[in-house]
Amino acid sequence: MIRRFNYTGRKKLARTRVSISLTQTSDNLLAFDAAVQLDGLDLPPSAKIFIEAYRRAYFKRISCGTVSDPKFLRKFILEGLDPQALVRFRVKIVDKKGRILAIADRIIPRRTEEESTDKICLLPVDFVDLGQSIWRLDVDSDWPSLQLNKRIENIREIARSDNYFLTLVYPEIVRQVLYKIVVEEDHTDPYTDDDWMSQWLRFVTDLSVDKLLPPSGESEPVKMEKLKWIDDAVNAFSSNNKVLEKFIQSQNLREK
Amino acid sequence: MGDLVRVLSDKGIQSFKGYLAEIRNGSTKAPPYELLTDPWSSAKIQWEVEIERRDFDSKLEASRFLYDRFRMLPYLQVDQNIGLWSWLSLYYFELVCPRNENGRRLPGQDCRHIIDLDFRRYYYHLLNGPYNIYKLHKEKAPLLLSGPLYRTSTFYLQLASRQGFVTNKGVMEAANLLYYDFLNGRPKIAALSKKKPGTLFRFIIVIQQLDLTYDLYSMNGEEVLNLLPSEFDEWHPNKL
Repeated sequence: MIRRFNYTGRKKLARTRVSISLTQTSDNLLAFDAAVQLDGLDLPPSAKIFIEAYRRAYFKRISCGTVSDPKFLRKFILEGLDPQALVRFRVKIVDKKGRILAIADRIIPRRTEEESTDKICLLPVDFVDLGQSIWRLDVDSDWPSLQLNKRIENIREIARSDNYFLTLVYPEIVRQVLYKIVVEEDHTDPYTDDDWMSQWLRFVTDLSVDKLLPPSGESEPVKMEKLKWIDDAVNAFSSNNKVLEKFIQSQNLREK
Repeated sequence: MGDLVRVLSDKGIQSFKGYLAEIRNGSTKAPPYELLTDPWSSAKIQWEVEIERRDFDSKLEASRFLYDRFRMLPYLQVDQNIGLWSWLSLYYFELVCPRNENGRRLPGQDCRHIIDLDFRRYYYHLLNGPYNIYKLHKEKAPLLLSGPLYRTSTFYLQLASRQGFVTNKGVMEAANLLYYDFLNGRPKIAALSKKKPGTLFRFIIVIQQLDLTYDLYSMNGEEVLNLLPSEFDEWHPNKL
């Protein structure tokens, strides 16, 4: 289990307190709305609020007033960023000496108004040029994301509703993500934090009937148990999403 | 009279990749410059941008030149345009992959010449990488942009690969103040040593620790330097 120390008393700003949504303007620019719920955190009224948008070498920092007088943003344009890019956000509350009093990082914004504000996106999607590949899972950056090849015109729609894609790709994504979390990182406790690994573990354990957690450890027998646990979790995911049924339906439709 | 910038097509990129593989295997063939104008391998861009073959003293000079040429174009057409940067890489091939003393060219990985948008490799491109640094910091990142185009320095790899470093003007300014010899126009000797205190590798570790406590993005270079422990004094221009 990973233990972290916090000597400076910095507060964690739960992601559920932060609401950031992206829109694409008519000029093909990316804009965002933001709001942060700071009630009950006991922060000094004069502390400053900053929102930072970042992606690779892109960085934009916006001052949003103070705790007592917040000035949250409406349709703030992120100039210089591809409108399809997967941008992440950070919210910081900072005192006069430049010390961080509270922070929420790696926030994945909502893309549309329809997405629920209290749900956290487990698998953000990035549209990139993948050459001859259709998709790729990126599990090595700070939050796993599904990369889709932007050369394919309607790839967004395919990934959202094409049953072949859904049934063949998503169970494999779940398997790869769980392998990273449980085998490579030996992260097996879903209740340690609200980081992505814990959130993914909570998501998959909730899907299974027995709610069993993966075993912890790095020995060979434990690794075998982990792989079995991942198999069961992928099966539970497939069962919940009627993967087999959808695949057979698509096959039948194609044959007709 | 210069040449109009074009973009390599998928076919052109494949041919360029093929050439890179050939020279990696020892071929001494000349670069396939014909791809630059062949209508099956390259295409015009919407804007008329003229460049010329010339020498650049450093990555700084090259990225300044390219930034000057492309800054008025829409960033979506420039920044991650694989065809454009592949064309430029082939156009300036003598600079990004010169012959060594044995007459061989050592191109390294494809991502040095053809942008790979994977977050682990996007900064490796020998022209686009420095261009992005220049776009962020202009003249204030000599530590990352010193040296010839074909050589990727450890300073560049260590700092450009870390999002929290490369996008932070204060941290970059502090790194320049500590490790760049402004008098002689090059990185300080031994700044990459793992035996001496306060060198780049320690700087990275200490900044990562400070970043948990301090809002480093709100600080300038001097303010960042003031947070560093005494082991960095040797490198600090005002504490020598």
